[in-house]
Amino acid sequence: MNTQIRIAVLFHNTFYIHGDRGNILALQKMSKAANIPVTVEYIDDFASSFEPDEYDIIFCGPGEISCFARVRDYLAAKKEELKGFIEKGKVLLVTGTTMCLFGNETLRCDGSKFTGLGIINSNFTEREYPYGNDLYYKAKYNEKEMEIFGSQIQMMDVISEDKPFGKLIYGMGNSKESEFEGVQLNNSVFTNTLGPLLVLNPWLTKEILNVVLTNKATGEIMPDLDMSLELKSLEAKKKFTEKKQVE
Amino acid sequence: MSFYIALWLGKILNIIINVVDKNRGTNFAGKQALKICGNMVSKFKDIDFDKVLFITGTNGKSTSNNLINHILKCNNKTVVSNLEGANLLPGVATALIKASSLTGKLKADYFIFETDERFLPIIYRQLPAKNILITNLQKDQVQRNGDPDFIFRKLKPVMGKDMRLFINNNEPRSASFGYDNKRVVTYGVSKHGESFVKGEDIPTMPCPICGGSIIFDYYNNDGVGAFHCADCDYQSRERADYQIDNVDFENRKFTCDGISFDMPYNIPYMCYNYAAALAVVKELAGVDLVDAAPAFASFKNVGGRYEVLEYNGKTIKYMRIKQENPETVQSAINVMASDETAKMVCLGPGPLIDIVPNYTNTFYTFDCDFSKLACSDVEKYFCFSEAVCYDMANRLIYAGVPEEKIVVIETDDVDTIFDVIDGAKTDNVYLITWLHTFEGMKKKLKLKERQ
Repeated sequence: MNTQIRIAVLFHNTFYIHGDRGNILALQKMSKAANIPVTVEYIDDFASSFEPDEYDIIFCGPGEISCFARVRDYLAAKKEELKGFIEKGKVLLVTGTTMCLFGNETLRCDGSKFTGLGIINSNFTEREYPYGNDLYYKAKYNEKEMEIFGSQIQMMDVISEDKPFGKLIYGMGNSKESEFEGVQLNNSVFTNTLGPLLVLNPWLTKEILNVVLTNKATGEIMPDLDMSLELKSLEAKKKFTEKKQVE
Repeated sequence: MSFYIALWLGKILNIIINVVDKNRGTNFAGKQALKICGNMVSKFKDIDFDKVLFITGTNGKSTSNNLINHILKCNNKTVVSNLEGANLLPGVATALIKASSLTGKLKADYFIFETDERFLPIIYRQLPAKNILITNLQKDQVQRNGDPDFIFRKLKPVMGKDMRLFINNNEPRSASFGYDNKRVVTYGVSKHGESFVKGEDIPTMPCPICGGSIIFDYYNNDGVGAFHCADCDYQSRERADYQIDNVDFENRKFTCDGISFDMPYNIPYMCYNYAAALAVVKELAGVDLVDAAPAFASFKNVGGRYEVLEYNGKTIKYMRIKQENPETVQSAINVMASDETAKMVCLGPGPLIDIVPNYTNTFYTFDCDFSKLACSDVEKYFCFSEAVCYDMANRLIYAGVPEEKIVVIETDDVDTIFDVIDGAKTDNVYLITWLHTFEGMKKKLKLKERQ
């Protein structure tokens, strides 16, 4: 393929937890298998500028709420560009607690409030203790229905007015009462799913790359690739989950 | 009155447990006693809080506790401690019950307790130690501890101005406790032959002071090394107060302040335990380094991370990792990768089952760099366990291991594990799995031997 895909990874030393660099590895691996060149740029310098529109995919991994303020202040200047990025159908993928950065307000356990970028219409309440579990749900991305399986280490409850990303089968949704997981705006996804998400669910990775190819209007689509290992993993973990529910 | 009832009950239970099952003796008496008197730890007498040290952190607590106790005892100091690693309030209570008189009086030179980092504030409320040793604060047991900042926030209120802190100069998060505290003793390790660097694509961590990027000039251990912040002036000191130098893994020696020490365990992460112990025994107990040195030759670590099993002419080296703890996984990977001989690598960390709900997390493996292992001489990889063996195999493939080298079997059956090991040409086998699986393998071998 003649297309090149450009990925920006925002502040990966700040958003450094839960092995989510694996999502970038997954995008690189699948692109390589499809002979699509990929460049990955690490946006780490608060003193340098960042132009969202230069990229096809922007990734923001999970981090700790105490570190968000500085990144929020940096990205605030690019808020309209980021909203435009999402509206154009490009892919902003945000995982874990970092959803708070893109939301409205997070109420912390100590009573303080963190004000986010307000890009997603979501409010958050920090949990007193983390909630860890398998996370399994149905999602629809790029018009494809799919099952998503990952892990969650949920540090906050999410109350969102936006369209959810997934419909829960097992695990905790955005909050204990919710049957939904995450938020989806156009082709951008804000989710608590760890795993890493794109390693465990290459069918989602493939559709993300298909979205990028569609945006570039090259007429290309991702070829079928061997996902047998991940499918075996999915089935094994579904069985494990069923066993848990019976017990 | 409830204190005395709790104390005497605890003492009776300790006597019974010693007869029935010594393995339950680390926690049980204290747990039952605390039901009668919930604040009994605060009621023990004759404890000088200036002589009380808590050892907390993610990794290295038990080893540091064991070594400090050993050095102090070799230097004729009496110590009350929870050496068996029961590091919650019942464990501390049990240790005090064992050591006290019938009236709750304690007579010891020092009180040294390994304390779980999440529960330290609870223990502190009853036993306000004036000294804390923080080994490091890293990613660990995320289902329980969330992220390192969660633990940092738990510990911060305890780090008052009158607290003496023993901190790891090379671990950014725990070292930051000393940023605005005057009573600080630092320990560290100089660059050595096993020091390494990592690629830019592997995240480091945020600066605990300004939120910028922490840059490691080199690592001595995962997440530990000489560091500086890319955005502010926060950095590791050039030399810690107690700095380990001239680390010679081959000859098992190191120096501190010009004095030579034997290295009982020549593994990189142990060097920080040695440095921490030297800092504590000198600053807390006045034991000079030259007097501490002889104790190193006789130190035996209880419950370490490495065990060997001989099976059918094969040597199985069990590398114990902590749950969801990338640092211990990386240490194990580094050990395997540095073995230049042909080997088989068995990876069987299964679902996490210690906490409900059990779950299938393997994402911590992506915080680790497997590339050196993938490039080393591995005849075969064997991925096993219920549910997560496929994800383990996938992790290896992501690291560049050819698929044809990987055997994947969804099993925890010990006979199957031994059968696959039997099939390897090499007799050099490394094993990573949860302790209960390894215990099952040991039990099976013992049964076979008896037969």
